[in-house]
Amino acid sequence: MLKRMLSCILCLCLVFGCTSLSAAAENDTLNILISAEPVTLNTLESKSNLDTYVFYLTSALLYRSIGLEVIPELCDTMTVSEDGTTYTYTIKDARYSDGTPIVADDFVYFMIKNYLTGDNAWMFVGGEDTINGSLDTCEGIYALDDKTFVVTLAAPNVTFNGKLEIYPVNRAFVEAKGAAYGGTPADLQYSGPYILDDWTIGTSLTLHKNPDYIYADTYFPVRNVGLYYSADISSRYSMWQNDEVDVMVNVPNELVELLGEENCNKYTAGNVVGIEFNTTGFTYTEGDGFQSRGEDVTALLKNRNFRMALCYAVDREALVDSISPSETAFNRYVDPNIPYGESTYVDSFPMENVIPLTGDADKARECLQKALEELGYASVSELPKLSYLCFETDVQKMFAVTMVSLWKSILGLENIEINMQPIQSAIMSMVFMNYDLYTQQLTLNPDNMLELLSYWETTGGVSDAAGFQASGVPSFMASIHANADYDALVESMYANFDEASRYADAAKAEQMLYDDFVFFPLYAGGGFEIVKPYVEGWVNPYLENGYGIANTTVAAH
Amino acid sequence: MSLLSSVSWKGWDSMLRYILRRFLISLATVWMIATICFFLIRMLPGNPFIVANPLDMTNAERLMDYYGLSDPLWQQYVRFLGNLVHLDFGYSLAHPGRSVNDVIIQYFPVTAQLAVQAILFGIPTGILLGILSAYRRGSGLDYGTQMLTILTTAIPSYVLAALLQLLFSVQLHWFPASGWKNFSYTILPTICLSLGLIAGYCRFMRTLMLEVGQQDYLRTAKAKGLSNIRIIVFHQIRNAILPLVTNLGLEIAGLLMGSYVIEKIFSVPGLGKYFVTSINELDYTMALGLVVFQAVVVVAANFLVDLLYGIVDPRVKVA
Repeated sequence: MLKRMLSCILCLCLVFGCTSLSAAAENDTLNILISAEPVTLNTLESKSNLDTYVFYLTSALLYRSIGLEVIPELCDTMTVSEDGTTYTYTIKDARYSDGTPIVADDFVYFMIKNYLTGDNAWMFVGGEDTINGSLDTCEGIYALDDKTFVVTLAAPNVTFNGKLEIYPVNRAFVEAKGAAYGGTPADLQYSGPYILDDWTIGTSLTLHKNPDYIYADTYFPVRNVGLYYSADISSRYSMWQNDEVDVMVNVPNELVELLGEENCNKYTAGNVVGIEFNTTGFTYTEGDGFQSRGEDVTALLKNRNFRMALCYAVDREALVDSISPSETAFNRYVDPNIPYGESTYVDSFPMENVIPLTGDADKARECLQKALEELGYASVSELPKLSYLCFETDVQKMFAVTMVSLWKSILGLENIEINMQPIQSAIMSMVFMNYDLYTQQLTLNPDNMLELLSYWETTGGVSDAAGFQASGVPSFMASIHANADYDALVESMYANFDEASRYADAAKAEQMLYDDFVFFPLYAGGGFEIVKPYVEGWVNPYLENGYGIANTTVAAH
Repeated sequence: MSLLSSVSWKGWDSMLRYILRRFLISLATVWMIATICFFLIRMLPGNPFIVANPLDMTNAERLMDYYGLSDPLWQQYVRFLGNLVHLDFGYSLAHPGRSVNDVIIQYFPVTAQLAVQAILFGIPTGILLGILSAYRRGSGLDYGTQMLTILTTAIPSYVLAALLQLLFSVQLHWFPASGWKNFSYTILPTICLSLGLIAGYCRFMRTLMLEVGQQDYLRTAKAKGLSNIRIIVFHQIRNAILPLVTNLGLEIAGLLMGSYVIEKIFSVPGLGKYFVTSINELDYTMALGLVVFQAVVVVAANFLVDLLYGIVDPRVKVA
């Protein structure tokens, strides 16, 4: 009896198992194993680059490819006034998947609700009035008719050209859905190449082709897309080996060796990770305001030779290769992917006096000796204690522990203590400047180098505790770098529309950062991806703003 | 006749009083859990809007104001209680557009399905193995079962899960490794959840069967000439199973709360995983909603088991 029951159960399992696996063999389906699921598909609330997959669901006015080429999608024409402040757009005939026509006001609504923020409101005529008054309209952003809308800038600004990912969002639809907008497939309108069938949080998103997409006949040949998410490394491996997915983006380091590094493609994703120094000399506490971190600590962190000694002591190539091979040891302050001419900006404009990625122990000791002399210390044992803040994650922990150990063995430094905290706590500590050294990840918009360079500008013209106390600028905006020449150069770049000259200025600005050595770059964030041989035309969607599968096909397998 | 009616009414009256008293205690328990969790989660550092982009503090502050999280804590608590009375847990802070109620409605059935499958497979199997093991005490079957239960108890579920995936997905290609589409996707997580149940109930049932086997009434039953099967089924199992019922309530409640490890490994969209991630993301509304819901499930399961106990064991009466 028991045997019979077991046989029945086994047979049932086999039947169901085989049924499900046969689905993976369909050629019109592309199954992608993603590394993190979107935070939201609400186009107006999207706040994370993990929401890249929203690009599959919505069209853009224009978008920029990995090569920074501006590609019109729903934009028919774009004209710029002679003074460079007024942009007039006309749009193509297009519809959402529910038949609603896409009109110019849909772009205006998106710009006011999503694009316009407290940080960039100054850029648009009437922008600050809209933000301050929480208005639904903006004097400088308006529709002339159903097909035309106008954007008026307060002054010519090169970064506006760099951020053209503007999506149509229907005001009436959003208002009808209220807080539920973007929560489930039924609560979204689709103008992009795909329609969402299902979003099971923590598991998968399944999409099918949108026949009403403006380029449905030309691009995105794959009819169904499955985006699968698994946080567990062994499950990711099993899914790949069991042919449940055709592409795995962000292959975990642990799996690269198992799957063979030669089978994986390595890419850099546009963020720079390194060590930031709290040179402001203060910590902020709610209630008490700005408090000094100690004059000796501040003097030490402000000492360029000390900061350089820390960097010289580390062989970043060996460190990154051994701890996190998916990252690339990096020596620059900007995104490695920014193209320039036939090459990249990074290759076209090399920096001078750079610290080699392999480090130099003798040079490190020399720099430290200089720092001790400049600061009047007789030996390293007299140096004040420093707190090195980092996330309580495996990778950050290993980087921190190894570097502190290197600093101890090469430089004899025993004054640096690791302060490892859960991500939330660490971020709050960083926000309140409660650190001396901090592993900072600078996430960049790959087409806007100015975004990163402006991070190092002197905030509000003040760079000391008293100035901040008086200005009311929040602590997280405190300048950890203050250089008037640098500020002037970066500001001038906002109105410089000549690309060659602007890039040359960017190189000058970056060289200034390097000379001041405000940041100790460790690596350029990235990852490995692996693609089944029958998938052709695959481009990493992160690098191509979701358009990576525009020409992807899945051959019979 | 009138005496019988009055006795019967008296029984119902005390039962109703008991139910009402338990209901009020349950309400107070749920309120206490909700209150403690409300204040505990707010003591965690950080805010829900800076996880995705730590540098975008302006936006984070705007969202804090929008969701009323900048208001004094007591005001937020009063608002929370008001919403709780209306069974409205609000919208997720981490996943805009998702209401907590919708998440419970959508994902509790997933957790419940796995729990039911695991219970239906695990508990009878465990009990059956326990009975056989006790019946064949000292045999190869007994030793084999004991070894198996020790192994499955000692090996952590995440190791078992990985082993099952390697065997059934990577090597044999029988079942999908991860995801949630149809019944085949539920088999590996069900087996994984069941193994613990099988081991626990097998050992428990074996011990109880052996204990009951020493009782005088079994000797009497044998002396009366009853068959072994009748003795085991109607005397030994019936008496041995009583303590299992007490355990069952907590077991069901635990399974209905979901298993974070199993759900994470097999990408099962259940409440367990949701609960843990909502705390990591400081998704206050989601975490509190799930805490309250799970508190209700635990309290209700215990209540039902208490009632069930009275049915299984006629000696148990309302005092």
